[in-house]
Amino acid sequence: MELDEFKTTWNKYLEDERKERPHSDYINMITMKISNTVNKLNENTIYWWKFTRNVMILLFIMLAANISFFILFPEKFQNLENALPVFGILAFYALGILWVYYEKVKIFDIVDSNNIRNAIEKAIRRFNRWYILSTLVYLFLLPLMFYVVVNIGSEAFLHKSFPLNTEVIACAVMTILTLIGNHFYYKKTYFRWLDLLKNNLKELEGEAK
Amino acid sequence: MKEEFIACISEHERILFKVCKMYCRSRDDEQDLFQDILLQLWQSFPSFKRNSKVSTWMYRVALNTAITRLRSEKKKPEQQTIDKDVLQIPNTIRDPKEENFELMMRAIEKLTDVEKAIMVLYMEDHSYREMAEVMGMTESNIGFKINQIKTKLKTTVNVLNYGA
Repeated sequence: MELDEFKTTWNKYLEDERKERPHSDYINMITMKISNTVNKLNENTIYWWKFTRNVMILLFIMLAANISFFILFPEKFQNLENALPVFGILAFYALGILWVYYEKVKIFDIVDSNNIRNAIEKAIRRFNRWYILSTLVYLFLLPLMFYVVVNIGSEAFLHKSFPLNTEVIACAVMTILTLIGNHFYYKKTYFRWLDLLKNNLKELEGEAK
Repeated sequence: MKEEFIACISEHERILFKVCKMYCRSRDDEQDLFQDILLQLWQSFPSFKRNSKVSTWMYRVALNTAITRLRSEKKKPEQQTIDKDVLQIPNTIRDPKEENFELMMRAIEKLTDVEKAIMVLYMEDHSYREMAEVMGMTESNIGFKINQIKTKLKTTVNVLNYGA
């Protein structure tokens, strides 16, 4: 079968498949789907935006309040000296995680692409940028977060504190393990997709030469 | 704007249908891709300046989404072995045209994502200029690629035919 002959059969096949459903019902279904999807998207966006914004505001208010109390009444809130770094680390950790999440969403945004080649180039560039920056963010935030966890955990559950050297080594080991785990997760989830995109781009560029 | 968008999609819904059919082999996957394309269209609708045709814009967004989306790795259904007795049942007479069409569909499945995109546009009788605009290639390269696809399909169909 030649391609031109196939074109006619293919168009007929698609039309027949579409005709299986009554036209008005089909349009209604599509309309409903669009409305539902758009509404759901708006609801989700608004909900998550409000949620994250409120959590961040709360964390930073708590941090600011604690710093103010500590500065104004240092004798009354002596324990705050220990709590302040914890609040600070938690707030920045939350901020870092949110940044990583929103940057990841942007990778799949093809709205501003002029053509397929452009969309693929942007997706690859955005993924590489996100992968490097998120690893750097984790490299900075994870040791701090683990330090807080080890410190609070050892005092709360074991009722003793470890020497600083031990805590630092434990944090470094946990950070390295988490980063390795992260790498394997990304490899499983994204790297095959990335290879596919690179092959597609190579195909488009190869033809452009 | 929502009403305008819905009217626009309803008028050209066959574009989404065709792209989904070309890139997906299961109903679930089709639904997922359909939703993804719809969301991208909705997001890019406000910035669509009508410099190009609505159908060109829709093809561009739909094909961009189909190619760049992150596919979920679903486990493929296990292949079942065919009972020897079944093979001895005489074949029911099938329309050769239908058989050829199925062979072509199987051959198309073996094309790359880029080749599938060119196929979708070619099947819709788009001009080389429009195809080049959507793909980000030159018109002459589109022509070269179409000839390459034709040869590839012919070879694959022959291989599938001899294998059957």
